[in-house]
Amino acid sequence: MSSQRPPALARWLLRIQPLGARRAEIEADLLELYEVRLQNRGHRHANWRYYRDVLSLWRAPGEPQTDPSSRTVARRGTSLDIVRDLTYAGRMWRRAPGVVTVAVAGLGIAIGFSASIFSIVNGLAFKPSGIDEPSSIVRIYRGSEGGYSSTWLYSEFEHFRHASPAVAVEGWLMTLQRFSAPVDSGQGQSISAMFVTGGFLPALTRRVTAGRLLTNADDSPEAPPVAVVSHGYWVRQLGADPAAVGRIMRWNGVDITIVGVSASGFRGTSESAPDLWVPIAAFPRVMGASPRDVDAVPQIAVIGRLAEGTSWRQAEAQLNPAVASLPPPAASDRDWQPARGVHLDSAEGSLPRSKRGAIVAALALVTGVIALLLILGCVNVASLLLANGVARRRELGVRIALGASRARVVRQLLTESLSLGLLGGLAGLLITLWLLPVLTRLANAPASLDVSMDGNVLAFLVAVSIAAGLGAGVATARHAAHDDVNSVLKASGRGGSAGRLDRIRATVMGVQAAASIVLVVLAALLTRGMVAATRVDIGFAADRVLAVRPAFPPGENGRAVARAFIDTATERLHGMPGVVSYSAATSMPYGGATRVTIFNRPGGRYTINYNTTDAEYFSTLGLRVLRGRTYTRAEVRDRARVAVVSEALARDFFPGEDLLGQPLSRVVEDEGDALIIGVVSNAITTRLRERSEAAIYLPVTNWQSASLLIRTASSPSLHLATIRSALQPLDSRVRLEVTPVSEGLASQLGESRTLASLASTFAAVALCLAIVGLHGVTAFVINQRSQEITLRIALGATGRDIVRMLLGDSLRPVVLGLGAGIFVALGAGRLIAGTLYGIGPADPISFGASVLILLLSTIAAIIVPARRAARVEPAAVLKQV
Amino acid sequence: MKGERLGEFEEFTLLAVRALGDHTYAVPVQQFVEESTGRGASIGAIYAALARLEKKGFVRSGMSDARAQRGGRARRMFQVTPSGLRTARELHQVREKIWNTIAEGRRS
Repeated sequence: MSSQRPPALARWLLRIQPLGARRAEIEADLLELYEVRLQNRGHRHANWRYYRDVLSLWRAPGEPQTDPSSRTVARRGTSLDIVRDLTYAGRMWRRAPGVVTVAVAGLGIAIGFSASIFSIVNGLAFKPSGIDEPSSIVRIYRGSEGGYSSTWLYSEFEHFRHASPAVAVEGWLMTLQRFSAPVDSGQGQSISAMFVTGGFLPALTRRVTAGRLLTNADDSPEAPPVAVVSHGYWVRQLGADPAAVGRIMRWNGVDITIVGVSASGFRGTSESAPDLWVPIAAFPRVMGASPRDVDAVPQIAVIGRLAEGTSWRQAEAQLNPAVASLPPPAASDRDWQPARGVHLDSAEGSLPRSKRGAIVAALALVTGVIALLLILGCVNVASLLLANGVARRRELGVRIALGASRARVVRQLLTESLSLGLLGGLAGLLITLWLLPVLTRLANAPASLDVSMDGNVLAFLVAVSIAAGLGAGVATARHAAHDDVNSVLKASGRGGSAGRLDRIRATVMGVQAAASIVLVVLAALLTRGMVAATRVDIGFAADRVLAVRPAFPPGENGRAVARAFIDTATERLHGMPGVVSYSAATSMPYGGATRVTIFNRPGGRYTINYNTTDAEYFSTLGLRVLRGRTYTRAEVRDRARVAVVSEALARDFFPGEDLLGQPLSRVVEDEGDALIIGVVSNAITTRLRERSEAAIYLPVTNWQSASLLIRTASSPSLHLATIRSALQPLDSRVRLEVTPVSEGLASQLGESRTLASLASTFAAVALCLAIVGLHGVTAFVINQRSQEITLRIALGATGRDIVRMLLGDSLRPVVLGLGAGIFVALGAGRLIAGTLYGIGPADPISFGASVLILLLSTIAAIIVPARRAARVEPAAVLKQV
Repeated sequence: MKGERLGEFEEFTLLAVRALGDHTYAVPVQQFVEESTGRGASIGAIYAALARLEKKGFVRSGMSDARAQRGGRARRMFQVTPSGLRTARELHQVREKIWNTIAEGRRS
């Protein structure tokens, strides 16, 4: 275990503490504690506590009782110097409030924006699932004739879950249930609930925020219905009220008592936590159906926690015989092939491998954007400090002449910039606090995403502030370190080091230009991509389709209600003015989909959208029949074993083959005897970003989960009210939700719109920082060269000549920087190629426009001070010489 | 300054040293205090408490031999002094007396 070390920053913090003779002992103590915590609670906890312990030494340094000599005179001298440096820095900044304000604001913006991006990334990627010892959690897949699936029949699960002492088998029902429930007597809220086995939560974690987790005792039919709410839900909807435990929610007439709040950051096995975890035993009471009822109940997904010292293989070996001896699925479950065995896989790997590359790329990009913003901020402050430093050259020269070592002067300058950095960090913290909620809302982040400030974000802020402070001061310090004292003291204008100063200035301008062009290009690419996305061919006309989603009562009764409702509703719709066609289907476009993932396919996982529909679905959605035919009403009524597939699926599974009449089991093994009878055109009905066009359509059998798709003659919003008022009175037990399909599409587009608007915001910030910086540097240079300029004017140069000269001098490094930046931008563009619709990562329009914008901004930033310089009255300046 | 009296945290720390069988060092004391009080205790607080206890004469310390498992670094070992033990006992008795009074008050 000791291969892992405490965080470097914390070790450094420990190193700089004045611990004296007790250092060795204290360091050994801390390391020992770290290792114990690492073993017991994992590295996050250990790291956090290590920081706390190190910081606690500052607060209570534990005066060395036995060894008063530990604090040496030299150390005291150093700390006094630091205090003196800081006091002096404070005095300096009071004298130049303008410089401080601009520097702190610039750094604050850069740091604030980067910390905000970091918080979001932190919430997305670095915050772990909250599972204790995730390595011993496995996902248990169901093996049958042809492959593995992630879901089991509930009856099977019950049968084999206690088969192995080596693995604690738990499960959750695949479909999140959404319902609207008032808590106590408050407002109804939309809540997502996950039904889990009693041992599910305890298997994943031991931590809670309040109350307790679910237990096996809760998961029995006699137990009163209880629930654990997620930390996110508790904070958002229950106001983080500690008294929330014990409150009661009403769901389908059943009172559910909240018994606990999950630990912050815990999201279990899903990408984000549901609002509620409810024991499966409560399912019959709440949903009015037994978990064994296959039609009413979604299948169950299964995980296991391996007992200590058990390998996957051992667990597999113990589970396999139990699964092999399962009774075959009942006749009603004829879609299910008998289970043959299990396959264990890491539960952490629920993220498809194909996605990991994209995430790494996104992370690299975000890191790059953060770095660029910070570089811009630093460079800005550096140029300000440089200007300020040059103005102070005489003062520094005097100090050195009076006996201060160069190191001492450099340290003074670094202390000054460091104090600026920390002030900037403070401003950044305030900006982050304000910006983070705005960004999260803009980004439309799921409510369960925890983007709150945590140790990581604070550590990031501190580290970045220190780095920015030091980074900004380096140029000035280097300059001071090499300055020639004599020339400084003698000369009053441009000193002997003008050449080097020019080089530093040119570098500063070049870096600024390079960093800004990268950000501006990225923003341009994303914006153009967003515009192009609105033109992606989704394969059907979404603007004239409505989705009617009825919510039927659960259970056997609900099935009859559903069937009757759909029948009468279709009768009512028939011949209704404005209604062109209609069809029942279980999945509506952009309204959540059933999907099947095939694992064992060469070329990786393959995802297929599943939909069960009535006969008119294809014409209603506007899909063209390319080969064969679609199923008829009679076939739907008779539950015929026929299937229609999309063109994409036909291409991928039956290349150059006649697929009509082929069994569907050639695509998905579980599908048994269904035959493919037709191919329809592709449609993107799930997620725009994925553009997954592979689809299988089967006749609808489960009417209880059916919705109605309606094509209207004109804009659906015109017909929305009519259709609702026609259908709602049919059955008071059925609640209806009527939405235009284009709304779902719009929210999908919203994602890329958000990304683009975020990127544009950052680009705008970058551009502002760059302009302010360039303006500052040019103004400074012109100030330095005022004598030369005046001389030129006195010798006959016109204002235009002067402007041209200054422009040329300043533009050269900018153009060089732009050139270098474009190369970086080309690389960065490739990283986001996956999120760009319709345009290439080297889109010439984006690049051209960005270069133009930056050049124009630069010229504007330079020309203002240049023209001011050119208007100068020669006599006024010459008099000063 | 609490003079020769014991603060709550100091008392916990003192009792922890005693409970751990004397000749113990800061790491076990920290963990013991944390586990038995259920509150986080930083190592710095433990050092400070031990230093105060030592100053008051309630514990004494000495360095152990170097050990291989700590990279050859020595530990500062603590032991409760008779005066420390006496003070802790007195404190306990005072508390017990008060609790007894409370319990009798309830009965009547």
